[in-house]
This record gives sequence, C-alpha cells and structure tokens, in this order.
Amino acid sequence: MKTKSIFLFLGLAALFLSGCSGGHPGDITNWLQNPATPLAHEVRHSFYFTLYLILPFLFIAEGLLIYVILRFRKKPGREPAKFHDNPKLEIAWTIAPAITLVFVAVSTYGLIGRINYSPESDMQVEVTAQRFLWKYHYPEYGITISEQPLVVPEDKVITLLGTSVDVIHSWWVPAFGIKRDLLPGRIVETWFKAVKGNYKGQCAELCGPLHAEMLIDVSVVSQEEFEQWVKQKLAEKNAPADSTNNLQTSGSAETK
Amino acid sequence: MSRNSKLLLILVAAVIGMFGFGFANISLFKMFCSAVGIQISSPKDLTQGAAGTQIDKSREIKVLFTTAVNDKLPILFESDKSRSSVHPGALDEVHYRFVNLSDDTLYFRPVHSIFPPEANKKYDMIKCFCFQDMVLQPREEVNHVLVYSFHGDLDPAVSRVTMHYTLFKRDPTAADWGRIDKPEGK
Amino acid sequence: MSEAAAAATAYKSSWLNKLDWFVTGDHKKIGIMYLWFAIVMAIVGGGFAGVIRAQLTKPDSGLVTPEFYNQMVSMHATLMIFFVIIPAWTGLGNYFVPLLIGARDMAFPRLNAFAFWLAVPATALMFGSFFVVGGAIQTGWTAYPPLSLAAFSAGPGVDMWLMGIIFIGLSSILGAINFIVTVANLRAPGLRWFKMPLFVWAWFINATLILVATPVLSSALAMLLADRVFGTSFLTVAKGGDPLLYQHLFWFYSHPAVYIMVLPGFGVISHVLASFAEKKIFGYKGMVFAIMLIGIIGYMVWAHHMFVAGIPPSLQIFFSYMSMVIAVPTGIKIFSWLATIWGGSIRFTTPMKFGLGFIFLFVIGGMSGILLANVPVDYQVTDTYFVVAHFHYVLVGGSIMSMFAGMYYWFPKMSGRFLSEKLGTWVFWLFFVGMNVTFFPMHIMGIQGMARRVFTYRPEFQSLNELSSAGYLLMLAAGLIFVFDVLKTAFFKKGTLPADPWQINHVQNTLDWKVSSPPPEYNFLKIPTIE
Repeated sequence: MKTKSIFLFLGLAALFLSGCSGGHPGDITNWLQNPATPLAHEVRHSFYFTLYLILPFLFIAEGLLIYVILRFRKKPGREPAKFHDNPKLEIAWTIAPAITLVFVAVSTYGLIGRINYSPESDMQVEVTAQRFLWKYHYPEYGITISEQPLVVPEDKVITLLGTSVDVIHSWWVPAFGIKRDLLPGRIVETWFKAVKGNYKGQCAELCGPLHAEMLIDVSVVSQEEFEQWVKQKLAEKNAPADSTNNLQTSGSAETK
Repeated sequence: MSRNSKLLLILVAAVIGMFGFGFANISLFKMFCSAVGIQISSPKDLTQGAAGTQIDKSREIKVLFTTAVNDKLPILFESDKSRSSVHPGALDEVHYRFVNLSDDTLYFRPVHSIFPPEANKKYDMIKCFCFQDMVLQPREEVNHVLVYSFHGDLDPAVSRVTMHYTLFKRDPTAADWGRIDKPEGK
Repeated sequence: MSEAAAAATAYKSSWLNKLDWFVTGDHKKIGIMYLWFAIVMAIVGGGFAGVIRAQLTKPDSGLVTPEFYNQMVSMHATLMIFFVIIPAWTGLGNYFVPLLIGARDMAFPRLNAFAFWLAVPATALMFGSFFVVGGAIQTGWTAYPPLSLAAFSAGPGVDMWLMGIIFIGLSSILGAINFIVTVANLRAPGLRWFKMPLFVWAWFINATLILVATPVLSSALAMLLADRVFGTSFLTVAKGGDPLLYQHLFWFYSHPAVYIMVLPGFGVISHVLASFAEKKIFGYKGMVFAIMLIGIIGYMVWAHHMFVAGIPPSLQIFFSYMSMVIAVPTGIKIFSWLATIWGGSIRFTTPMKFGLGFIFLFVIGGMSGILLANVPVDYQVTDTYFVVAHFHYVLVGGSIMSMFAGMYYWFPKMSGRFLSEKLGTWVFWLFFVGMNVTFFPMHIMGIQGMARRVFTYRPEFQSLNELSSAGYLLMLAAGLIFVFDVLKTAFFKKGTLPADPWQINHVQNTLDWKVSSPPPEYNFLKIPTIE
C-alpha cells in the first residue's frame, strides 16, 4: 500500500501540473494556451500566479499526509505521542495562508476593473441571444447577422452590448478571457481586443435542450478583410433574397 | 413552559423570520441595488417633468440605442437613429417604429434597460413607453417617442451609454394584463 | 434482566416490532431509516450519473435525448444533495448526537419522526415528475428563472420538483430545530460546551446553518412556484420582476448548503483520525472556532457563484476576498488533522483509510476553490467542467469520503457487527482511485474550454471524457460492493459486539463507546455524568 500511494500521488501531481501548464498541445482554442487578447494574457498570468502561490500548500499538506502514513504506522513497542496543542504552530498555519491569500487578493484587484470596464471603444456590436442562436448587429453599418460567425477587425477594442430575449444565456469565447451572462430585458457590456484568428466558444449558461449546440464562432480579420466583409454584407442586404446563399458561402470561405 | 418548548418557539420564530426575510428581499434587493447603483429591471424616475438641470456643454455623452425582439414575436422594432451625442441636461428625442409583420393581433410589453449601471439613476425620461402593455393589430404600424436627458451629476467616467428596449410577449388573458408598473418613489 | 427489559425483549421478537418502524420516535431507528433512505437514493442518483457518463463517452453519442440528459443532470444533483448527503448526515447525527451527549433521545421524538416521513412525499414528487407530461425538471438543480418559468418549462415537472424541495427543506429545518434544542438542553451533567465531541459541535453549527439558510431557499422556491402557478411577477422580467433576485436568494442558501453537506463530515473525520492514530484531537478549540468561522463566513460568499451574472466590481471584490478568507479556517482544520495523526500509532482500518483519503481529496478541492475565488479566473472557468471537478472533489472527496468513514466507524455500534475489512479495503481503493480518475480530468477539460451541462462536446475533449467515464465504473464497483456488504452484514450476520469494538475509547473517551453495541433502548439506564 505504501508504494501504491506514492505512485498515485506522484501521478496525480504530474497530471495536475501538466494539465495546468498547458502540456497538451493541439489546435484547441484555449485561453491558457492561446490567449488572444491582452485581457486573456492577464487572466492567464493571474491563474499561474495564484496556482504557484497555493501549490506549495498543496504539496506541504499532501506531503505531510504521505509522510505520516508511511512513518507512523502502529508498531508494537512504540507509544503514540501525547501532544495535542501547540499555539505557535497553530498561529503559524493561520497566518501563512492568510498572508498568501492577501497576495492573491491584491493581485486580482486591478484586473477585476479592467475585465468589467471597456476602454475607449473602437466598434460596438450588439449581441442578442435567443434559444439556440446568436444574432449580431453592427449599428455603425446597419448589418444584422444571425447564426453566422461574428466577424470583427483585429487589434480593435470591440465592445459587445449583449442581451437576451428569452432565458439567461452566457457569451463565452475562452481565448478572449471573457464570459458574460446575458439576461433577458437587460443590456450588459463586455469587450475584447483580439489578434487575428478563428475562435470558438459557446453558450455557458444552461438555456434548454440544445444548450450544448449554441456555439459561438468569431473570425478576427484584418481591417481590409473586415471592410470587404462589410461591403459584401451590405450588398447582400440590398440584393434580392435568392443571392443570400451565394454570398454566405463566399463569406465563410474567406474567413476560413 | 419547559426549556425545550421555549427554545423551540424561538427557533420556529427564527425560521419564519428567515422565510419572511426571503420575501422582504424583493424590496430590500431593490433598495440595496439602487444604493450601490446596480441596475434592476424595474424603472426608476420615469417621468419627472422637465429635466430641470442646466445644460453642461463641456461634456458630451455618446448614446447608443439598441433593441431586441424574439423571433417568435414578429414585430419590426427599430429606432430612427442608432446613436446620439448629448450634453448632460439637454433633451434628446428618439422615435421608435413598431410594425406588426403578422396577420395576428400581438400583445407585448417593452422593457427598458440602460448600461452602464452608473447611469441608472442619472437620467430622466420625459416621454417613454416602457413597462406598459401594448397591442398591435395585424400589420399595424405605430410610433412612440422617447425623450430623455441626463443629469448634470452623471459620473464623469461615463462617456458612453446604451439605451435598450426589449419587447416581451404578453398574455392578454392574464390577470395583470394592462397593468402599468409604476415607477418607484414617485 | 429487569422486568421492563424482559418485556422489551418479548416485544422485540413479535411481528408488531416491525410495524414499530413506521411509528417510532426512537432517534436510533429514525437515524437508521435516514441512512437506508440515503443509500437507496444514492443508488438511484449514482445510476443517473452513469447515464451522464455513458452519454459523454463520445461527442454526439445520441444515447439519450438532450431533454432526458438535462433531466439526468438536474436530478442527479437534486438527489445527491437533498436526498443523499443531507439525509445521510441527518441519519448519523440522529443516531450519534444523543449518544455522544448522554441523552436518551432527541428533544422532540415525534417531530423527529415527522421530519423523516416528510421525505416520503418529497421523494414521491421527485420520481412522480418523471411520469407527467413534459417530464422531470430540465433546468439543472439551480432552476434559474426564466428557464424554470412556465414559458420555457411547461408541464407540472418543475412544480413537483419545487414542492418536493420545499418538503425536504422543511424536513431538514425541523431536524435542525431538534438538533439545536437537543444539544442546547439535553447534554449530560458536566458536559460543558467546550467538552462536547467535535461531531456534536459540527452538527450543532450545521443545524444553525440549516435553520437560517433553508427558509430563504424555501422563499425563493415559493416565489418561483407562485410565478409559475398563480402568474405572479416576482421573477418574471416582462412584469417587472428580476431573475437575479432568485439567484441571490438561491445562493444565499446554497452556498451555506455546501458547508451543511460537509461540516458533519469534519466532525466524523476528527473522531476517526484521533481514534485510529491513538492520539487526542489536536487543537480542539481551534477546530471548534474554525467550524464556527466557516459557518459565519459561509454566509458572506454566496455571490461568488454569480461573478459573471452581473454584479458590480465592488461586490465582486468583496465576495472574492471573503471566499479566500474562508480558506484560512479550512486550512486550520487540515493542519490540525495532520497534527492529530502526527506521531500517532496509526491503524489502517477501513474508516481510517477513508479518513486519510478525505484529507488528500479535500485539500485538492480547497485549492481549486481558491482559483475559483479569483474573479478573472472564475470568469474563465465558471460554468465549465473545472467547477464540476471542484465541487465533486469537495462533495465526493469531502462529504462522501467522510460519510464512508463514519459508516465504517459506527456500523459496529449501530448493528453489533463489523463491516468486512477485506471488502472495505476494496471499496476504499476502488472509490479513491475511481474518484480521481473520474473527476481529475474534469479540471483539465474545464480549463480547455468544455462547458458544463452539455450533452455533447467538441471532439478534442473525447479522450479525457473517456477516462472520466472509466473512472465512474470503478466508483460504481466500489458502491456496489459497499451496498452488498451493508446488506449482508445487516441482515445475514448475527451477534453483538462489546461496547468498544475498535478498542479506541482509551483515547476517544466518548459516550458512544461506553454503551453496548447496539446500544439499549433509551441508551443509558442512568444518565452519565461527565467529570
């Protein structure tokens, strides 16, 4: 049993570290591996900062546990110790975690503000969640799209104004470092400033049977490509309905 | 009375008290929210008459007007402009168009919301159409106007405001159909 | 044998005795009924988890419909929380709190029986809801409006669920009242507050948590029910109601509920570790204050479940920091337990194995909790499998492991027979390894972006999900062996054990090990005096 527990512990520790330090390369759009916005970088930093501050406590606690299990097995002739308090020790293990947590707390203070308040906005997009699809409206261009990828220019502060017309949904694209519940009847705001790429996300608040299929796709493209896309959408809007199919396919070909 | 029964009575009172506390939260929650400036769905300061404050020409607030309707409620609902730039204290007017796209009579209610929460109590709506039930006959088109102004003491950090309306379907046979939810405190 | 005892023996052997279970006010019988109830519900709730894990072995597996999947998700949580963990602790508490304080019964035996039997209509409503139009609740156990309102969850399933939870909540409240009065008034002479065993302390504080929190949940559920049935507008947006109010009230209960599910476990672990390390519990007073602090701060952290739901940054900061603060008393407990076993003479009995396993797992659950208290990180991992991993480490690694420890520890006292140590070792290792294999990968899935409460997922997550489903099989095996052993030992083994079958009371010196196994009716012929 001794060896078993050691191997188990080591295995778990390795799994924990590898899992959290992004040891699984792949093409997943993952906030920890591929943060796509300054905010996501900061969130990643905050994650590791917190993790590295608390990991020693994890290892101390689990290490002591394993040591005790191995060392203090009942043996004939050895009397159990008699102590049952130690004020100094008790103060130490109250203060040490408390101080560590102060560091964690202070480190998140500024980021909480930045994640909630959009800086000077370059472009606004309205997001309307409806079971089980997303509608995006670009007020600047008068474009409305539904069940299509959100297309935005790279390196611009995009402010999303989100709401829902039925139940609570949550707009979440992991690589952007944001997630925001969209409540019916209420307008809320979130923002991102992303680098080029195609990003995946999904609704993150149970909204009904097809919640799992309420997926989000975002294409972050260059300014020129974006302008091109806007032109296309405007043309599509003014053109008769039968050409819609055509333009959609060319639109998605361009973004993929 | 035995010690047990006495304590029992106290505890039962505590349970009933906590149950009541849950319901008291309906108003406590609203009070708390307005105290810390969280927006809640019910309206505040709907119609206060004239804005009363002086126009502050040194500041301009960019306002975005957004609307949302469920596809199951076939109404074209749009404002005549998508954005405005207003000085605090100045009146601004937006016209909203409601078009029933179906051949049925539609019953609904517009719900108003504003972002950021800091702006929540810092504006007056001189004319508005929210929180009252509405009817659109088949293919009917109506217009409603929103006239509002921001208070002079709106947090200087707020430079962009979103004014939002959602239309929610209503049941005309419901007991509370036709009720107008009065703004609080007026 | 006295005349009364002889009469009692004669009565026991008659068929009337069996009917007695339906009308009994005896705390021990009620305790045992709670435990059986929890075991049966755990089998069902565990089965529901099996449906979930089977569906998730591959993306779009199509094993069950999305609607049924959501019913399984909602009911698995509902059963495990309200019909397994909370009743199981009530069962152990019912049996052992009066024993440990030297009382002959709970303060109000009939109230006690009434509270237990309330579980029957509650259970009937829960299972009945599967057979009505629209089926059982599909909104998750949180039942957030508007999803849970009539417009999106038609049919009586949600109404039945709401009434069921209100009933089981009432049962829990009545039980809590009984515990508080019992502990406050019925302690044996000389048993001062700070001499009470830690299981009693844990249950006392637990009962006050239930007393304050559960009525608030009931009020939220009552609002929801009224909105659904009477068309009121507490939570309906189109009528000026606010769905966020529900979330606040819900979590005002449901965060303390997490402690309600684990505090009695803290008590059990303290008894088990001290017993089998042959040492007195380390830092008794610190332990008591830590439980109190956890109970109090537990009321100031509820909105950490709602960071992305729309609360202002100032409140996010408050709730984030309070959530971190709660880690301090938890740390005190962990380190005190380690100091308790340090230098001891450890006997690796089955309850001890579960006790040590509890520490190992609970520490991991605590660590992921701190990551979740970090608001920006929470934005990323809330509503993902990371959260699922976190609360399963706390609830399975914390509550269930300590419950196993308590069951193995006290089973000889309740039945007069030991559960099999050999099978117990199997149960422990299968459960411990299975638990880690099931839930550890979920941390990674969550961080990689797999949302929770989904019936399908992107193909990237398949291998981790397969691993997780394999782990479920190990836990299932452990559960089945345990149930088999309990049935066998309870019904097919005969005999009684001495008062102190584990030979631990020279260390523990608690009253439960001073009466016969099983204890006589009314526990103590003469109320003991504690010196």
